[in-house]
Parts: sequence; C-alpha cells; structure tokens
Amino acid sequence: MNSIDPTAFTASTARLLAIDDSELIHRLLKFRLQHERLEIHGAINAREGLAMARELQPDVILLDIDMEDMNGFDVLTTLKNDPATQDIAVIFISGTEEAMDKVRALDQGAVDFVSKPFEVVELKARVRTAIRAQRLMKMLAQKAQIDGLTGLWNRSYMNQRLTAEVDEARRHGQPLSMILCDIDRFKHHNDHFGHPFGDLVIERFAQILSGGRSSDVACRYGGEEFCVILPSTTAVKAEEVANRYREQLERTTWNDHPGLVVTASFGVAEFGPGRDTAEAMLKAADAALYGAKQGGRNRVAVSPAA
Amino acid sequence: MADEGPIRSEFADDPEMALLIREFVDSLPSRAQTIHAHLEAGAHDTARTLAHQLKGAGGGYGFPQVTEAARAVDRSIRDRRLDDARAAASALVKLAARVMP
Repeated sequence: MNSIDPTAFTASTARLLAIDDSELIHRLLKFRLQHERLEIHGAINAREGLAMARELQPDVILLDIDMEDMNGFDVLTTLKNDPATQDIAVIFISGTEEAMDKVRALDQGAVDFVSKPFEVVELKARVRTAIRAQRLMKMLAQKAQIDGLTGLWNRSYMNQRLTAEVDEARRHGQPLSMILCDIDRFKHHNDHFGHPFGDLVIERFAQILSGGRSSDVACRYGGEEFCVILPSTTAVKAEEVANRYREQLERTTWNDHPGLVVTASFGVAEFGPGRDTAEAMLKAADAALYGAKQGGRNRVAVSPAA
Repeated sequence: MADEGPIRSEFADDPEMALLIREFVDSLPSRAQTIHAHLEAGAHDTARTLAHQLKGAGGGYGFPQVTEAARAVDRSIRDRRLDDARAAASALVKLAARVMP
C-alpha cells in the first residue's frame, strides 16, 4: 500500500552529514550529537562531502564555509543544482563574522546558519528543526502525488513513474508491462446504490490492486480507472496478475448488497517495438482494455505484440 | 597573576566531556606551535587555515580564550598585518601552555 506514515518525520533516525575540514569539529559534533536520534557521517573536505551527499542522501548537511578545496557557497550551489541532492537541508556552520555571509548563505538556499563556536543546545535545536521541516516538505511533496480516496499513487505520479520505468527497460533490456483496468458498469452501481457505495467499490478495488506484488506500482488513473505498472514483468505474467485481481474483485462480497457481483475489465501491454514510450504503452493498454469491454467485460485482454 | 595561571575548560565538570577535552588539550601546544612555525616560514595561508579551525573549535571544547587568541591570528593574517599576526601567534603558543583539562 502506498501509505504515508504521519509520524515518520519524528520517529525515525535521521542521517546527518558534516562537511568541515577541521577534525576537531568532527570529533566535537559526533560527541555532542551522540544522544540525538542521528546517524552521523563526516567529510573532511568539500569534494568528499559532495560525493557522500549523493551516496548517503542525508536529511541534513552541516556545512563549513571556509574549506581549502572549495568554499561552502560553491558546495551549496553544487548541491542545489544536482537533482539528487537539491532537497537536502543545509545548515551552514561557520566561524565567519560577516553578516553578509549569513545573508548570502540563506539566499542561496541554506535553511539555517550556526556560528562557531556553537552552543550545543542551540545546535541540537536547529538540527532538529531543519530535519522536521525537511521531512514535512517531503511528506507534502509525496502527498501531492497520492490519491485522497484510495491512498494509491495518482495519475501525475503514474505518468512520471511509467516514463522512468520505460527508460529503465530500454537501458537494461528488461521486460516491463502495464495493466489498465476499469470497474465494469460503475456508473450503474453509483446511480443505483448511491455514491457512498461507489466510493466503497473504488476503495476495495484499490486495496486489491495495492495488495499485489511489492514491486508493482498501483495508481488511480482517474474515476473508476486504474493502472498498475509491473517492472521486470512480461505480458504473459502481467496477464496472470490481472486475472488474479479480476477474480478477487469478482469474489468480493458486499454487506449492504448481498448477491451483488462487481467486476472489472483489464487491458495489458508490454514494452516493445511500437510500444517503446509511456504514451505508446498507455495507448496499447487502453486499446486492449477497450477490447476486453467489447468482449463482454470481466476479462483480461492483452495487446498483441507489434 | 591571574592571566598567567592555568586555564580550565568550561566543561571540566562534565565527565562525559573529559576524554574529548583531554585530547584537545594534549594536542593544543603542537597546534599553536605549528601555526607559529608556518607564519615564520611565510606560509600565511596555511597558518590562517589552522588558526581559523582553532578559532571555530576552541569554544566548543570549553576554551573561549583559545577561540579569541586564534581569532586574533586569523584576523591579523586576513588584514595582512603580519607583525601583529606573529605576535598573536606567540600569544597563542603561551596560552596553549596554560590550558589544562
């Protein structure tokens, strides 16, 4: 299930990277922050710090300004220009006495500035605050891609993810499939049994789709239409997966409407010649879904290979 | 005289800090000597980098006097007042000798 843990930003251990060319400072930081819920890493120069930032993906970086190989402002610019590191919270920690240095640091995207020698209590509070803010930002960004009713990824995320998976499949020659599915006669259920029941059907179907293999990515495509991206999966295997989903929905019982059977139709498409972009895969899956509907609903249709 | 007596860390009563402070104190005289030696040898940038690092760390180990003395070296070199820098480095060496855990 693509769920968000609302306590995640306070409960889990955060990762901190200190980039400073003074080993005296590294020892002090490690010691002074040892009782915080932090995994502390240190880089003794800017070059090492940038490499570690990419690799470790820390929640927060404590960054010195005056370093021999590169100054902290240039390090910050490099971090902010790299999509892999641009969202990491950076706190400058410096002995500079220039107010303009502090202004410049904050203008360039640092979240805070701590003067050396630092007050331990203040440093801890500022690190905690930066981590909390950074995690909330992450949560908000994630939440913008989650469907409110079902908790599945939304269409915007699906488009991004499918494009990324197509690139991966092309690069590594791995299979990739997708399933597009649609609840049969949904408008009828909605009109006949009311919108709350319609919502319930959508939620149940979403639960079925998100309860599949952990590598599969279930999304709400819109209305009663859903999409599942299946990395490293052939169309034959995706058809099996789709049939499992289909059977699970068909077997679902509805307390308020005993005897009612709700079904869905599925279209499967695999990455390959003529379906080598996200758009082309979607189009092929949509055509297969249309075929499943035309064929009598409650079935899985696979787009034929080009 | 009070300004020639031993200097103890502001965190001397914190048993958790004892080992860290001792390591700092043990290394301080040689750090101060190194700064002084680099200045005498004309390696001003290196001397300034080391003084700058000491300035940032001294207070953190409970020795604001070390921070102040290192700041005097750092600023003098920054402003190209090299006679002042050498005097400040000598003062830092003397101060380092008085620092106790």
